[in-house]
Amino acid sequence: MNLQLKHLIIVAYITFLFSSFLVSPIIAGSQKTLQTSVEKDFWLETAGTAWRYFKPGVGVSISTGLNYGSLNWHRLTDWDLGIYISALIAARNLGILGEEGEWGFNGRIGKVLKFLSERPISPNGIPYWSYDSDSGGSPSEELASPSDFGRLLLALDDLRKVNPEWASQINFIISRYNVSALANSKYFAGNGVYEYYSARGYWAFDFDTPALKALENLGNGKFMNLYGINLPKAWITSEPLVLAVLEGKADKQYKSILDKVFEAQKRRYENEGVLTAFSEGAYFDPYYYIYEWIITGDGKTWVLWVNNKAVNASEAIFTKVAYGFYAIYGDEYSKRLVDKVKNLVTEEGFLEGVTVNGEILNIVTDKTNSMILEAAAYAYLKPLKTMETTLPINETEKKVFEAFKAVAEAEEKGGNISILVAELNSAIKLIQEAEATGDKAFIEKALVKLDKIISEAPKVGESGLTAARWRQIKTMVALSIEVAVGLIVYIYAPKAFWRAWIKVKGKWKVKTVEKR
Amino acid sequence: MVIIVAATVYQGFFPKKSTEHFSELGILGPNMKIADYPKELRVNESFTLYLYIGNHEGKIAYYRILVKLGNKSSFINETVPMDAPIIAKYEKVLMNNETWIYPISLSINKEGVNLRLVFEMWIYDEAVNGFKYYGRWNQLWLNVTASKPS
Repeated sequence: MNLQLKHLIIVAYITFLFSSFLVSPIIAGSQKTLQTSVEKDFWLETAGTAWRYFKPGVGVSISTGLNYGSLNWHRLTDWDLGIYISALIAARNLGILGEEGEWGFNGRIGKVLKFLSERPISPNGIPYWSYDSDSGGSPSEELASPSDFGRLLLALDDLRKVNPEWASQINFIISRYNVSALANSKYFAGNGVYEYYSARGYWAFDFDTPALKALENLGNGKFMNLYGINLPKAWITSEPLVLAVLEGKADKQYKSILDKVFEAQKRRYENEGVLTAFSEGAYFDPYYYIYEWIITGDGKTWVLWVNNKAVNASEAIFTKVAYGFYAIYGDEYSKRLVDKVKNLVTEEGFLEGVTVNGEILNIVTDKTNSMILEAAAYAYLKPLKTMETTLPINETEKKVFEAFKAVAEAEEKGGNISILVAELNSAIKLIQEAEATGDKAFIEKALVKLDKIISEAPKVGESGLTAARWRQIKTMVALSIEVAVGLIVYIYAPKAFWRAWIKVKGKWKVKTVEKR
Repeated sequence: MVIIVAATVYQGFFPKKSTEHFSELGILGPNMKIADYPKELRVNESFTLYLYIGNHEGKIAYYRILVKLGNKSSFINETVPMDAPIIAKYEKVLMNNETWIYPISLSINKEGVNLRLVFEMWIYDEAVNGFKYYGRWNQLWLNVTASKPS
């Protein structure tokens, strides 16, 4: 290798080092974005699978535009219809359902509202329990439950918020029914979590539910302890609690019940090794539909019921609840649940679930695919919602936050923020003194300090940037010197060494000595 | 020579930083030790503890510590803060690798057995422009009896 080629390699290597170091921060930055985008892609893909069910001719009747309760049951209750409306809103918000066209959001909602305006109802104004999805007629005279109608009201309330132009048509529909009779039902005197979810639908349309007890009286003051978690001795399962949170219908108290319900199921897994996602859903023959109660009103735990009787069947991990939990909590346990059900996918949407014995519930329903769509919309749009683990703030706090952000920005730029931090803490202390004494003068002083911090912080940031630039220049100079010295040594040192050697030892004479 | 050059470049552009980011919350007893915590108290009896916070987030952080009084059925975990009355609040901005020990004086204004004095750590989160529950908490179990008649 000649000398010039060696030089070229050294220069190329240094250039490579420079370019890779300078480029690496940009790559690291985009990885963070990718992470978010991966999560978003996951939820969009999940929603896309669930949406398959609601395609016309699959889980939605082409002739009426009404949904089927399941692929095998071409009927719907008011609960199912509410579920369908919620699925449409979620799909629209996720951008997988357009507004226009016969099977767009508006076209589909139009068909639903037409059905609700015209469907046969009982002479006393109560809708029937179920309707034929293909004809819109009622196959029997059994009346709708207050719970199912409440679920429909919740969805209609959401719908008029999505498009206020539908409000008058929805109000006309409501006026067809004897809502007051349903709202006054003794159903609401029940001791369970479903009642509170459905009642909110009536409240949304200004109907009181007088029989409903206060939520703090759920369980009538009695509690059950499940793995260290105290839950009211009442009819409790995940379904209405998860729906309420996904739909923004849960107040702090109702949400806290879901938190405990989730925690109890998680601890059951940790203690017993049984993956648990209790809810209601379609099941194998001869049961068809089961309710999994975490607690019953009479104090039994982890039991399965069919037609108001306990049955000895294998527990199911419901797909919808796994995704619902994952959207809300996103922790390791909910991820484990999703991993268990994520492959239960068909061309028509997600399957109902899997039993703890590994038998797949090979049934596709509207309730499962709707809740998964709602979970996806919740998770996808969560950053836009107010987190419940945040605290309310006031105007003074806003100013403190503004000052903190300015200081943080100055720090990011490399500025020396120690004085700013001391001032910020001093302002915070003044605010605390104002809160303790009620003296507003402390607030005034704090605000002056905060304004000063906000105006000073950018200068500190700039000085940091300048210092950083100088550091880079110094590095470059040091580097250039190192390279130059290195090259000089590499090129000239051997020549200089041999010159010196010759100078010192050049006059030496070499004698041959004969061997004796 | 190449190694020397690479090391210089790396140090110049990427000063050494710690990679694991976390915050510390600790409660020390009246003697600034992890011992001698109060257990039996009288109503409104004042007691002193020390609050310890450590910032290892790799950047400046703004902390809020909420002191709540719950009971044995109150629920709290790393994602759910306790739904109980707040009896005190402390705030501090700390630079990276800075710690703060602060004496706090508290008293309980009601009787109770197995009361839980919970200290929750909240951190300012720019994304929500507010304090967010950090999931770190400590607790003391207390029995509080009626005040001595004067």
